[in-house]
Amino acid sequence: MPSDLAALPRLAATSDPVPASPALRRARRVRAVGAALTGWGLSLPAGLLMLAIILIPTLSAAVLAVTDYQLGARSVRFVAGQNFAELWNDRVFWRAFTNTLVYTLMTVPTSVALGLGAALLIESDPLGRTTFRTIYFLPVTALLVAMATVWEFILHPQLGLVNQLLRPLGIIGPDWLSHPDWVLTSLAFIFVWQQTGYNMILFLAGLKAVPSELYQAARVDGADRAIDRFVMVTWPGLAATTLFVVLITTLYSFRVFDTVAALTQGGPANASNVLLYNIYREGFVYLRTGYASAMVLVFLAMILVVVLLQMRASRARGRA
Amino acid sequence: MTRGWSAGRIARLAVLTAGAAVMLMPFLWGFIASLKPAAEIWSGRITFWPEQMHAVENYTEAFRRAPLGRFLLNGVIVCAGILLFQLLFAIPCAYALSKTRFRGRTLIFGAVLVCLLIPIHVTAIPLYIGFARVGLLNTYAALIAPFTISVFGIFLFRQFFSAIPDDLIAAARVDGFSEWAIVWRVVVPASWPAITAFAIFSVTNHWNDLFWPFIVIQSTDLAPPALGVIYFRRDETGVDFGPMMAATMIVTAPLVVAFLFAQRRFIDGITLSGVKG
Amino acid sequence: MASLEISAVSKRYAASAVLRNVSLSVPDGAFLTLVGPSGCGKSTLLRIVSGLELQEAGEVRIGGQPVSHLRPSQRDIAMVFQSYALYPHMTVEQNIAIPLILRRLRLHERLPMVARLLPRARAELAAIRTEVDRVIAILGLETLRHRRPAELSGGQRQRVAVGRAMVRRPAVFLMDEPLSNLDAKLRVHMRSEIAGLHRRLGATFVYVTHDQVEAMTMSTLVAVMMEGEILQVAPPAEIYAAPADVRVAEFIGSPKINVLPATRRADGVLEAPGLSCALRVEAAGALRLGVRPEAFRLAAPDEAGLAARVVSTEHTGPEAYLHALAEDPQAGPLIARLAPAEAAGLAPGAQVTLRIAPGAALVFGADGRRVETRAATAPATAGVRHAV
Repeated sequence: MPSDLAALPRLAATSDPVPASPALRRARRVRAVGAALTGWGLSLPAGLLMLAIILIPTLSAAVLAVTDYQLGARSVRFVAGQNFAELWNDRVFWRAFTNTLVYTLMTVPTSVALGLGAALLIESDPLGRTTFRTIYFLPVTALLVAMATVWEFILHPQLGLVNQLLRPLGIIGPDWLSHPDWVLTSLAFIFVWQQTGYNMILFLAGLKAVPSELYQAARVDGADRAIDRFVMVTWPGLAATTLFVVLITTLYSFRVFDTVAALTQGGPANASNVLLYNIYREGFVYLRTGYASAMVLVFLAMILVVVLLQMRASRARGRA
Repeated sequence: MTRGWSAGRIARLAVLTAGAAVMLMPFLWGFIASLKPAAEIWSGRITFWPEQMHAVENYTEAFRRAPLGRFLLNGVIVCAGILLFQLLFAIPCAYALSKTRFRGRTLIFGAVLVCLLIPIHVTAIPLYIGFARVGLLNTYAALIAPFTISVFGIFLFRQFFSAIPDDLIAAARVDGFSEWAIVWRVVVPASWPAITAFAIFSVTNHWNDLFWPFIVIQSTDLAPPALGVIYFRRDETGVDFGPMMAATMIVTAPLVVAFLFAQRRFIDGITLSGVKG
Repeated sequence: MASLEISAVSKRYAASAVLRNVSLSVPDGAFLTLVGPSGCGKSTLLRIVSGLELQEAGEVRIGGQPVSHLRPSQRDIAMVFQSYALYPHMTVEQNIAIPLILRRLRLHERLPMVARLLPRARAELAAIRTEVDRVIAILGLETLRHRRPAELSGGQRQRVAVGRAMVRRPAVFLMDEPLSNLDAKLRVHMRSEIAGLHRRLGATFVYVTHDQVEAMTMSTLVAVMMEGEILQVAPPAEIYAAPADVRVAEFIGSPKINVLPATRRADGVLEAPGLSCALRVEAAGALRLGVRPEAFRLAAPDEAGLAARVVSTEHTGPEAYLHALAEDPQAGPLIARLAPAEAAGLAPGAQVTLRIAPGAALVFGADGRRVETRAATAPATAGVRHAV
């Protein structure tokens, strides 16, 4: 029996909501405070550490850069742009700066291309895939200074494998790590040796993200040769990954220090001096902390420029 | 495999094998050299396998020259300490950034993004001065403290935690978990792949780090592996390659062995760092 | 087991009002389904009852006690989520036990080794184990005890989620579309399982779904929600036969009810195409006539009715549905349920005449609410539906 329409529960008008009772308001306040406390409580330790370990020291570095502070000195003077003026005229600094740039220009295209090539070759055929991937990644896990020491031995002018192999060909190999013309290249080679495997892994991940249907569609569209498919599908699909790999490799390349400190100590005659090693030398050997801090700011600026370029490039790509 | 042997396949194998030879060269050559006596090394002849096994002598000499075991132990202490603190601070922060709505969220996340751009090399000098002031130079604390905050970890975990269904957190709240318990007993177990991948990334980075220990440590018994190699090299009176190669093998072995056992995890660690880009 | 009282609850998200002054009374032991289209606010209302969200105005009472100041774990409720939300690293056993462990063991007693040493903790754990065993037995999860959620099927996970809710013996069970992620066949099976669970436990269930079939088959009370308001609360049969609003009539019932325009003559008699017996209405304005598909029948050759042209016929086996377009453009497309034999001879384009059974007509006013009707001549045959 359908009930009387009039008896059906009528709903309150939707116009004026009932105001909140004091108990409800208190409950809402307690909740809001609780949520804020939780959020802050969980993230504040990390936030404070970021402040103390990263942000404040960075500001301090900027402050130091405009002083003449020497490590262990009693007094400190504000010198405005004097350090930077000195940097501008410092031949050793410029040598380090250009060396770092040249080094980067040598390592980045090489290790990115080799990493990409290795990834493509390894991915193209299941035969030996895991084995090769393991072998190519092995250098990444090795201690760089240790392996650099071994490379030093391999590149030894008399005893090293490289020169020994060149001798029957009639080539007298140079002193790879002591010759001013070759030292930077040798160091770059060691970096590429390690970085290729790292980049390969990133490219392998990027390749996996390219949907396989695209390759089938390309085939249907007439891309019969592998090179066609690479140009049509693979390369565009890897654009974001490539940008990222270039960025990472460039930033790692800027940070070259281990091999220089272990093998050449910046020599011969600053032929292998690089930014970070120069900073170390000025700041901790010559104890010119203020001056070294100015160099640190230049280093930071380089990083920011590269990151900005990458952001601009990825935004342009996004629009394309 | 029913595929035939085309020219392409053979070419691929040839190229990859050549590359593999270069990749393996230092490992193999260093290992071989560590087995040879000095006479053989200096003879200038290229021999693959040592004519005379000098392994025991080289390796014992390596351990005598420098406290290699100590270096490795320091590596373990420093990396474990760093990882512990990194997880302790980054995980709750990442949870708060991804699953809680509070007013400071944008500020803290903004700080994370800024800090991502700043490597240790920029903060090294002021940190050094700071540690010198409080007399903590040349200590484990100096080695561990600057790395206790991993903004990369915060970024990575935040990404991962965002993917955890909100219903799971809601169910945990209904069941009676406190927020702190939710972080460690619900979210962390559900994010295990990300945590192990990060752990490997962190350990690999700090095991290999030379710059900061180079600046901050002066004594051999605190030297982590990378610095230990430098000390070993410095102590070289002659150029005795045999023990030197032995030392490099000893110092490199742990991570390489770990990698060979846990390849999947290592590679995931690198891949995850790539996904962030 | 307790009643649930929602009074004048409102909630806004940003600029839009999600719940407008909603009131609902759920008697102890009822199975109430909150049903409505996506976005109507039913899940929000459920979350407010659970305590996961707090309302902006109004009050929620469980067993007569206000609960707004209590956190979810303090309210006497348990919740089953659409995605089950099982802890992936815990076994079935552990998932079911966790609500009791969190409530009955103090913090230090929860540490892995400690519990075994302290006598009080040991006793509690034993009691908890008994409870968990009881629930596992009821739900038939014995063989799955030590499995993790990833190793379970959808239906099994759902049962574990229900078990986790049951073990607390809450006053009110809250279920947020728990069957949406299951395939059709499993859904039908789980519907009867959940209904059976309700009968067995005798607890108060509040069940949210957008599926009106679930609402009609499982509940003792149905609350139809739309756009943040509750349009009607009534037992399923009444919702179907006596919808309070044209929106309720359109939402409940598949295929959808036919809605035809109608007007009121000066003498109060309702004028609408196809009406076989005159009805008298009080309301004025643009009226609407609601006719369920089963309330249509084909007119006899000499009878007048609603003229329409056949578009297509669907045969489901036991029944047939006629899709037709009324000649009167205002009436629009129609669906009628016929016997297979009747529909067999109808080809697309054919002319048909449809008649409406007298007591089966629902009349709605301009504001959408249903209005009273009386027979214009003979005594009302209300209550007797002309079934085809």
